[in-house]
Amino acid sequence: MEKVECIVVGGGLAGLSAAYGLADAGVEVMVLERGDYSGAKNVTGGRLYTSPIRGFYPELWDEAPFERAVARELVTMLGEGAQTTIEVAADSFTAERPQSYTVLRARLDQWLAEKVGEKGAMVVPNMKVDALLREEGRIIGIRAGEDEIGADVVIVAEGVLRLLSSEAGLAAEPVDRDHALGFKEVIELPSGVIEDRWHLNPGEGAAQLFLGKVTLGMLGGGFLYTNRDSISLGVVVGMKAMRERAAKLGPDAVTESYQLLDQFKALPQIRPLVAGGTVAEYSAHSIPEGGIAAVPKLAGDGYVMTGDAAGLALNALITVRGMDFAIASGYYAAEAVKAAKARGDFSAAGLAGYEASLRESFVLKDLQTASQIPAFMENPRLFTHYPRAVSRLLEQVYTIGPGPTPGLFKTAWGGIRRDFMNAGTVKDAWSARRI
Amino acid sequence: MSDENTVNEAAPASEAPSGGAPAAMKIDAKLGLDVFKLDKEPHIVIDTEVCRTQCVDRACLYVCPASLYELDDTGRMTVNWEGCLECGTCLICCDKKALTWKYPSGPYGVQYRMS
Repeated sequence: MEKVECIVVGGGLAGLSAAYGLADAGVEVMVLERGDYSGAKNVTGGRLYTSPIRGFYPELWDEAPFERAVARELVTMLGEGAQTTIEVAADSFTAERPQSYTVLRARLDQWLAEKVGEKGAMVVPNMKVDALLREEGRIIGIRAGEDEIGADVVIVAEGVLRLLSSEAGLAAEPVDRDHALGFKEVIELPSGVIEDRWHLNPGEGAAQLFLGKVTLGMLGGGFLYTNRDSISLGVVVGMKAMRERAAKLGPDAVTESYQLLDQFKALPQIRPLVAGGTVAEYSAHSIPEGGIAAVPKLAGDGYVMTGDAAGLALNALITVRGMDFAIASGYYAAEAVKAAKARGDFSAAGLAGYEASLRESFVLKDLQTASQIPAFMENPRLFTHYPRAVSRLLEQVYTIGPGPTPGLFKTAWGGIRRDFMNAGTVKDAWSARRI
Repeated sequence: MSDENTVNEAAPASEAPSGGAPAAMKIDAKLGLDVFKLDKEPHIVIDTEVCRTQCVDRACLYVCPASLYELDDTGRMTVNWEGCLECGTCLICCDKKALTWKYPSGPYGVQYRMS
């Protein structure tokens, strides 16, 4: 059996980040990517928070092919006949080093794969790994078709479905409770039109999330990210929520998932945003949303788990992260493998530094901080009552009717008492203190 | 207060756009925008006996974002795997384990140019 020092299964952001660090240190590393190129099988919403990862490979990020630096953050609560948008623009979002960028994965991942290649790693496209080879409890390599390749260590960066690692018994199979479906259209629009529609300076972008209505009360929402000359318009919906809704309504009465995006796009609030655009691509992906409770064992004899395969993603309702975690986990995987190589010990003990450094870093710290968020987000009122109630309250505050208008305080207080001061909302506020 | 919504439940958006919206693109037309390299054999195989005898939920019929699952004239579950976006939602939601679901081999399957 042919053998290399390190095999990386999956050439997405986690795998490429690991390979970059290893190749830079002279470790013999081979990245196996099942797509035609890195990014061919990947989907983001999407936006990459770069602030958390600037410190890793700092030479890379200034030249990365990002789409737009996010200058405007919008969240729209869609009610019944009324909607409320909160828009935040802070100088710090786009200071000398913007905190986040919109991205498209085919462009970003191919670029990173080239950088990894320049460091001396071998990135092999069109190579689907069929199995992780296990011997006496230890991962000793991979099988792809007829070929077996041995390795001192395998970096598992196979993505959210973790077909290989669950088959090998390294992690549980993904379950609906811990995952959401994300799907989107990439809609081409001239860059000038994008900048006019979202009031952006050249090169700056907007990120807009939509709560209520879009998901018919199910966990999830709509999203819109402005790219250079396209927008990504899509929907995220919890898998368990879809199934519970079907159980309630009966499967024949239920809306097919793809229709949520068509209905979203047809809303009068969305139509002017996409007017004149040309749909260029339709894509879908599963998203890990189980939080820290769903993170599997991160390393064992001969392997480490990274990125989506390790469940490292965090949907905190108005901030949605995953790619920064993927890049960070790849970085720390490379550090751990380098240390293991120096000691000549690729056992679980030799690779234990990986989990330790993730625990010290923002990756597991932020997941730990957000440990109550998955349960909190199962509350359907977040996606039904609150978007409606906020919009109804503000609609009344802004309404001048034909007769006398009550005072502002009386109007606002009446709305607050009606929709925000009852047993349900008090309970929600109580559980919200832990998020 | 109802958890449900006023958006039309039964009719596809393509048939019932609200307020004079242009008709939505058909899902097949959307899939037609994507680059697919067709595998020689299906990467999704359904144990239709499991569907027939054990499954009442039939989540695959409504969770698939490409709407690839259908019941044929005899009530047997089928999948148009050629248009698969490889998200794996059907696999995760099929708790009766009726699906043998692998990624397409080698150079095959969807190849996103942007996403």
